This record gives sequence, C-alpha cells and structure tokens, in this order.
Amino acid sequence: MHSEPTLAAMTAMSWSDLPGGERLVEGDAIILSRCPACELTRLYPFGVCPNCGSPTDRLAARGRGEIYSHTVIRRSRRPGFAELTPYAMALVDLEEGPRVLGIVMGDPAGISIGGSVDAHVVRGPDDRYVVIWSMG
Amino acid sequence: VPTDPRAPVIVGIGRSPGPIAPDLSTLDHHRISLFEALADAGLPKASIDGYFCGGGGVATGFVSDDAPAMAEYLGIQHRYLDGTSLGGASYIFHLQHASAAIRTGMCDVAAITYGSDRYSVSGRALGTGAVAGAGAAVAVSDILEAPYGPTVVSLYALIAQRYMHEYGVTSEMLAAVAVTARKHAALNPAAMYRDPISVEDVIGSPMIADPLHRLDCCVVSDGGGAVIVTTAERARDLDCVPVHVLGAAGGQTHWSISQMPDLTRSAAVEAGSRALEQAGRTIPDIDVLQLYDSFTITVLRLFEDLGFCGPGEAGAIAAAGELRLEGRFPCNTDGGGLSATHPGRRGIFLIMEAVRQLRGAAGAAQVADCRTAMVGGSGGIMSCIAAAVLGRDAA
Repeated sequence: MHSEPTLAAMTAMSWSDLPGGERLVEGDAIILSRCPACELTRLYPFGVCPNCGSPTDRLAARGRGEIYSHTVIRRSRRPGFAELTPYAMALVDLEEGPRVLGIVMGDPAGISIGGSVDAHVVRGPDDRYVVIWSMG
Repeated sequence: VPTDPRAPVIVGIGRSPGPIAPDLSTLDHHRISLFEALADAGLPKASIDGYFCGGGGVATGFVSDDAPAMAEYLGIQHRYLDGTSLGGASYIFHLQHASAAIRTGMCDVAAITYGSDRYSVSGRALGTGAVAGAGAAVAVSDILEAPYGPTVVSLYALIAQRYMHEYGVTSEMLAAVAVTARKHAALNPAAMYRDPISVEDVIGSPMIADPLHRLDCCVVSDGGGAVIVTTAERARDLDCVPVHVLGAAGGQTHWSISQMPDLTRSAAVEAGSRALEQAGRTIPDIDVLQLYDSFTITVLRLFEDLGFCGPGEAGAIAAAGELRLEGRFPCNTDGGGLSATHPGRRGIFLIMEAVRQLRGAAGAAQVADCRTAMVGGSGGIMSCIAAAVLGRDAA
C-alpha cells in the first residue's frame, strides 16, 4: 500500500490541494465542514452554506465509517495504481454523514457492504496527505 | 389537432466511417457526419443557424472540438450556439435545447455534431485509464477521489455492486444485456464485434473491476454522428420521413461519485417522466428503446429509472430476453456501445438508431410497426441523464 510509486501517485493528486491552503486533516483527524443552521455536512470546506447562507463550522470526524459500496480494481493503466492492483476501493459513509471515496487496505475478499472501517492519514513528501481505510 | 408549425422534427442523420478509421481525425468525423446528415435532409450547410457541439473528441488536429472552434472550422454562421458538455448524454441534452430553440424561433435549422478518433489515438483501454477530468476547475473528484486511482469501470462497478446487493441482481442478469447487444450487432455490418457470445462468455471474461467483467464494458471505437432538427413547417417541404421530437428532458443528481445520494436511483426517474409527459405518452406506447450502455449495469439502471419496470426488476427482464428484437422491450437494436460503436461518448448514436427505427429503415433489425421510441443517455457516472421521446406521429 505504501510503496513509493503508489504513495507518490496518491499524494500527487491529494487532499492537500484544496484552494486557499485549507486543511482537511488535523493530526489524524478528518476535518468536516458543517452548517450549524441546516446541518448540511460535507467533507470539503464550503464557507457559506449553499442551502441557507449561514457561515459554516468545522467539525473533527471520529474517523469511523461504514462501507456503502465497493469494488476491486483489477486492471489499471494508471502509474502508481497499476502496481497496486488488485486493490479495493469503496464508498464509505462517515458516522457524521458525508460519503467519501477511498482505498481499503488488506485482502479485498474481506470487504462487504455494511462493514465498519477506520480512517488512516497517509503522508507523502512535502506534508502531502490522503486518507485511506482499514477494516474495523 | 393541427401540428404546431414550429414543432421540432428530425430531418437528417449522418455518420462517419467506423468503427475503426485510422485515417480520420476528430474534425473529419464531425465534418463527414454533418455533410451526410445534410444530404440526408436535403438541406445546404448555409441553412444551419443553430449549432450544438459538446466536444469530447480527441484533439489531434489543429483545433479542439469544442463548440466555438468547431463552428469556425465548419464555417457555421449560427445565431444560436450551445456548447453543453455533459459526457455521453450531451447530445440528448442538445436535442432538448434545440427543440426549445426551434419552438421559440431562436433558430430554424439546428445541427448537432459529434466526432472522435478515440480508438485510433488511445486504443482499447479507455475505461481503465484516468477518469476524464472536469478540466481546469477544481471538482470534488479531482482532490477527494482522484488520489485513489478510480477508473471509469470502477466507478460504474460501485453502482453495480450496490444495486446487486440491494436487489439480488446477479452477474448472469448483467451478462444478458451484453449477450443481447451482441445478437443485435450481428445484424449491423458496421458493428465492431459481431460474433455471438453467451452469458458464460461474459462471466468468464477477465474481471476488470468487480463485479464488471471485460464483456460488461463497452467497446472503444472511432466514429462520428450528426443530427439535423428543423421546424415541422420546413420539414413538410423536405423529401424525408419526419421524426418528431415529442419530448426531451434532463436531470442531474451529482457530478462526483461520492456526492451521488443513492447509487440505485438516477435522474432518469425525473428525465423520463418529464419527457413522457411532454410527449403525452406512457411506457406502453414505447416500441423501441435506445439506452446508454457504457456498461451492462448502465442499461439496467436506466431501464428501471425511466419507468419500464419496478425497483430491482430490470435484471430478470433482461435475463428473460425481453430486451431482444423479439422481446417486449427491444433495446439497442444496432448492437449498442457494448458491441457496435462507442468512441467515448455515445449519445448521438442513440438518437440516430431511434430515427432509423422510426423511419422503418433498420433493415434486419427493424422493429415491426415502430411508431414511438425512447432514448436515454447517461453522462458522467450516471450523473447527468437526458431522455427523449421520438415519434412517427406529430402528436
């Protein structure tokens, strides 16, 4: 999972690339944005709520989620990921609400819809980071 | 009821050589398709005053194929230009927009063009490379999804996995869609693959992204298409079988896969019901369907969301052979993207095959007494859906 080409590929297009230098991770915690008025919660910062116009808060997620759907990528032409195949990719529903895409570490055969997963922050060069998941 | 003189009518369709045309560029595919469609309609290029182009070809020439560049290249003096680019569904959105523009007098002759030399440039492996990006703008998928190496196949696989989980749909049921497409492709000399395949062949083909096998995935080809739409009044003077655009509507649920609220419900629910309502038709009126088939799962999801069956029922209907020419819902009668043609975006070919059927010009693949067709297109990862109802009858 942490092989150099894979880590380089993952962090080359990374959660650390948000405009304005906003951070999605503090330490090992995923930071969500949440509207205190209408409760719209998203992974990516959205400043003023597009639903109701209220300023948003930031909320540290517990880093736990449930598999909503999953696949095993067996063929990839993408540098860094071709070497990783076969690997499991899943949509994970965070306890706090937002759904995120991610790689799930370990044997893909052990992954099923409804299964619990835990978040891990993976860091590459230059403090670039992404979040990946392990079966809980 | 007298026909609205400005009701939109398809009077020309044209296509460029395919499915493999190594000597043709993306621009050639647009140009050849346009002139074929104009010849089909019996209209001169100078009559075009509305132009609809979503790009999406491979930029191998001296210009890209986005709308203003293509209007310049083709020499179209438009007074209505639409560059809506919503993936493979773009062309059915164009049909909606062209219909509105024609009805309101903003143009009289609308041309929709598409072209791509995808196979000759990229080869077979479109669905396992990077997902076509949202461009220079930063989208959720660029920062929050791209780091995991998603391929187009893998994103549709997520939809398939959830759908199979919720409804007990099987790989055999998905495979039936590919088998049906191949049966129809055998009747189409321009189809990329024509040899029969079985359910076992599909399930035995290499897994690309679970649960989608290689034969659950569309072909990658070259090709182009064009459609000419004008007013009912003008169509009366032309030597063609008019095909009426009775309804056309679109909808959207998300753009990035993580933002799709429910993987088993697409905007085809709304697009389909709106198109049918405009047309004054119901599901039993539909004689033939042309549904986007980037993957086998795409057909089942569209069929269901457009209202042809209840939740989870599409798989069993496909497995029973009901999507075949002789079935209750003849679907993708040219062999579809799964076997015939898919140069990266397939929407325009759906419209053209529906027109061919409604004209009674589909040869061995002709559906008997075909009066009304439904077309359903998916753009992105079932993100933007457009549906159209086309008919032989004016109202």
